[in-house]
Amino acid sequence: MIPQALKKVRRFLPVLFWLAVWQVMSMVLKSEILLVSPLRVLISLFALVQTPVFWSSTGFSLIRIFGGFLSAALLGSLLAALAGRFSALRELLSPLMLTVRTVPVASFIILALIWFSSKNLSVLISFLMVLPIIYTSVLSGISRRNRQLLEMASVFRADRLHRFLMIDLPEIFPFFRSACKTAIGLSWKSGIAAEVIGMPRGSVGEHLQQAKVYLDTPALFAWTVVIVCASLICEHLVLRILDLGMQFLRRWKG
Amino acid sequence: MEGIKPVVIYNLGKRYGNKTVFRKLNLTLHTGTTAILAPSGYGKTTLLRLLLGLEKPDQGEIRGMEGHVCSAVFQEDRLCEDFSAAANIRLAAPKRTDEEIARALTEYGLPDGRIPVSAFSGGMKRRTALLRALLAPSDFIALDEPFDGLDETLKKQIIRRTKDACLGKTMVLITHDPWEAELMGASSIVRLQDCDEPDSDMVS
Repeated sequence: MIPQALKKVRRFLPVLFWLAVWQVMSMVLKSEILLVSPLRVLISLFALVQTPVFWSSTGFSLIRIFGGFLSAALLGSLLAALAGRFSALRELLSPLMLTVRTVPVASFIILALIWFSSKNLSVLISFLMVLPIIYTSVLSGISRRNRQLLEMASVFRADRLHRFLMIDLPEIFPFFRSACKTAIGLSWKSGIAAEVIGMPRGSVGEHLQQAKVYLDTPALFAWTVVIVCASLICEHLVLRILDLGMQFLRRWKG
Repeated sequence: MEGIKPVVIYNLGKRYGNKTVFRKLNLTLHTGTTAILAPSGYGKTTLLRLLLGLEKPDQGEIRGMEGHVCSAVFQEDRLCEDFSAAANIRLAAPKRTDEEIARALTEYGLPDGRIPVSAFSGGMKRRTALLRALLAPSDFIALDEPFDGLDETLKKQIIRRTKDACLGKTMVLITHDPWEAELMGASSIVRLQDCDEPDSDMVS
């Protein structure tokens, strides 16, 4: 029992160390604008959480960024499944995905601002960041499926659903899961960047932009903590749901 | 029901790159067990893949396979490792009842629980693969060294059960062990070398 608890404490030691470094540095600099102390951020965060604006803004950004992630995960998987089946589609999509993956996110944000309004900008940006990641991973999962098992299934004329559940899904799942892990963090980073540039009213990005204008470093840090937490919670929830789904499948199919 | 036609392998040729596996292979497979003996690297597995339609011959043809429902034990076990033995069998034999599968598993000394195949020993995996082939609906069974890796004490018993399960079907048994062929009651035992046209380049 005790070694387990010790292990947990030990994991937090590095975190405490860096928090202490941060505290000391802010004390040395003695400027709240340059570097605010962790304690001050905590106070600012605490005050923030008690305002209705905190919840409405977080909800505003969460729905859009997560919505962008979700629709890209679905469409990316679907396109990958089709591209795995039809090589013509794979070739057709290849330059498109490469472009989306390599064009700087800022270019997309500005282009999107010219084309559309800023209100739902983060949906589009998060979608565009996630789509190629999911598509590429799922496609490589599809192409690396175990050929021997596929042959086996075709000799036994196994039905499509069982083939999918017992051969395709277990093989593609690790690719999809790790893509989701990467993509969620990226969807938050790019989504918030889009909001900072486009400043849709009532978004988290708008508050970051305001913090910049008023040189309100405590607010900047507090909102950043909120974004990091939201991103981690989303990641944790999505991975947990995926793992539970896979566990359920294994138990269900025995 | 129409009479079961023999499967005729006629002048079959197969090459991989510049390696010739068969030049002109001729062989007829009647109902019952045909055991094929050959040293390793002699194209046994290639023959099986050609019979199952997983490869196309470069020349010649295989007649009489159309209409056959096939099942097979491959050289590898080819099991879905995350799933139980019963689930693996159900994938190939969806019409079998749970009781049928449970009984067969017990007979073959396999657990009927939610234990994933990945936790099985090599011998248990082999038996699962064999059972899958026997329970799947089929009238043509191709077995590629199916008893390899089985416990010697179990082997005889498993071979007997396999023989009973294959009555009335066409079976190709690939093995390097004439004893296995005999125990399976093979109606013909064929040496693969004797069925192929000799390699003229190799005759000096």
